[in-house]
Amino acid sequence: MLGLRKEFGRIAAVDGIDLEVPAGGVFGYLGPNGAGKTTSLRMLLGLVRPTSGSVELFGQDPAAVGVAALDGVAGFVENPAFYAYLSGRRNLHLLADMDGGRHHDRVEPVLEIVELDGRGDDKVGTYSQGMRQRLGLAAALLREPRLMLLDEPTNGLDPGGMRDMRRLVATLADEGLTVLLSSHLMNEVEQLCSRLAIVARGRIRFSGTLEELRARQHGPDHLLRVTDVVGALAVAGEVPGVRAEPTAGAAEILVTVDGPGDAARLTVALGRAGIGLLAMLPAAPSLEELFFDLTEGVERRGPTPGRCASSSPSAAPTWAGWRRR
Amino acid sequence: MRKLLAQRRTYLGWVAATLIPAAFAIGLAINPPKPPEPGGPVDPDVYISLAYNSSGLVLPLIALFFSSLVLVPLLCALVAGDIVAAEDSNQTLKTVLARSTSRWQLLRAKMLATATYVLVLLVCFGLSGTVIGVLANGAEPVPLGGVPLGATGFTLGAHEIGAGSMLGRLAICLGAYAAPLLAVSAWGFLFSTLSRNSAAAIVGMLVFSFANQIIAFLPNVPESITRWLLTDQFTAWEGVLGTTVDTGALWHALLVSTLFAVPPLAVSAWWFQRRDVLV
Ligand SMILES: Nc1ncnc2c1ncn2[C@@H]1O[C@H](COP(=O)(O)OP(=O)(O)OP(=O)(O)O)[C@@H](O)[C@H]1O
Ligand SMILES: [Mg+2]
Repeated sequence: MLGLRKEFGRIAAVDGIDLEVPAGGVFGYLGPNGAGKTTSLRMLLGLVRPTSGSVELFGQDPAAVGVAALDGVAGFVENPAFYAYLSGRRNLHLLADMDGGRHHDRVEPVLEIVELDGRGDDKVGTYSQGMRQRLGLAAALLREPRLMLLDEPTNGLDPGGMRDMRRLVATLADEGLTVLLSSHLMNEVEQLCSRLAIVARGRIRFSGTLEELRARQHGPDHLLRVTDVVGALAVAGEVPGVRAEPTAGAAEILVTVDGPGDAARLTVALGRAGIGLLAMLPAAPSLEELFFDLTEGVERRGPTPGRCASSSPSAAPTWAGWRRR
Repeated sequence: MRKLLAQRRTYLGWVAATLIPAAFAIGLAINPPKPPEPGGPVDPDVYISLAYNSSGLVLPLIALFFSSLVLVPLLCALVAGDIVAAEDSNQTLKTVLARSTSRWQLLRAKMLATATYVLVLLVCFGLSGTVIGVLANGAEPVPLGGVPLGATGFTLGAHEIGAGSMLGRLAICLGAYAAPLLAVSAWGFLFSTLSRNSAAAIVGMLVFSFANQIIAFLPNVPESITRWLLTDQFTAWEGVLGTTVDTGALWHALLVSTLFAVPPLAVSAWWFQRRDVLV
């Protein structure tokens, strides 16, 4: 994607995106609702004409050369749609026809891969959301793609369905396929992707590996609940390699340590000083918090109730507030 | 085309086209046409109905005469108005356009499918009318032909058309009617492409077809104008029934119909090529 832009009236859905997806593995394309993920993928698939900028798929621009650019590329945007009055199998054969009739013999294998072979003769109108999603994947696989563009493939699936879908995507990537996976779930991207780009309001906010994203996190890394905050702050100030600060309210302090040894020395020192340690929790900000920071900027603070998807077990959602201070 | 074959409405259209002549056969059996007052003017519809007393072979023409305005265009609109818009409302456009078939190829296939549907519909109509008519009143020679009576070409029967020749003329009649029918279907196709809404496109095509035909009934519209509208082409088939077949009128109908069909198809193609698929 090169300087890619798409305007709808006065809204810039995609506002100048430059991004290169390396071959191999799953590339996460992460962003909140309305970030422009689907619009970008539509432009990649040649469904929408960019206002300016261009896309290249293995060197070819669908806006210039049409469907020829989609050789080796497959995918879907939003919920995959099929002819409801035809069976899943007939739908796939129809799409195989539209691919030049080369892939009819792949219909059965791909149905098997997505575990729809038992329901292949039922009309798609009778399929559940999860089955349609899997049929969408089958339809993409039919083309024997080298690059697969998936737009929120786990959208609307139950937890089991999500797990199966993710496993499938991981397996495909292991077999050498490149997957561009759009998602609004950080933990999904964390599970599946080694590289990712974070988009918000049509612009790239971060692009790189998961490690590079993690390296961006800074700030306190432990939360201590103690019997005496003032005393604990004083003790912590004397332990080398430890910086401590109080939290706004309760009997808690935040500490930043240089290494695991420093954390251990701090607890020993606190014990010697007669200060009880009620809890000590690792507080590495979750990637999800970083994601919120990157996509929402600084204007959003405070606990964020209602977010239950959390990428690391240590990140209790109620602490989102202090961690972002 | 195979998608059309899998849809119920396709067959409904064809079955309806088969039933229309049957309905007329029943109507005429219950209420046989009566001869007009001697000396008075004979309207073509009365005349053609009278011919039915002599030969069942005119049944398709009677049915065509009375259903060409609304009924048959409606059956065509059901498909022509739906064929592109349905892909929009089912959101399947994004599915099929992400394959190796270009937009133009897809649209062309849809144009061909629509045309095929319309032609098959007319064949159903003609076959059923002929078979039912013959069963009811026999395949006798038809007392048509003679001196042309004005633009519509119906004449009192100084002349008979033999049964075999009548079958050929029936085919030409339906072929002549197919031309303007395909032309209005092309407009339905355009409405379907632009509106992305089946119902709107179906109504739009019907209104267009109706408007084109109703002009003939307005006073003071000179023939020099209606001749270059689809209006006159819808009745050009009547010229087949004279002493000899009026080939000039048929070619003219074909020409005007083509002139009316090409622009909507071209605009459809241009629009479909450049539009954003956002569903
Ligand atoms: N057809 C359209 N007309 C007008 N604006 C649109 C249209 N489609 C998308 N937009 C706007 O473009 C922006 C990006 O939308 P897009 O669907 O690409 O987001 P997304 O990242 O896929 O979001 P989600 O996670 O909700 O799927 C939004 O502000 C949206 O309102
Ligand atoms: Mg989206």
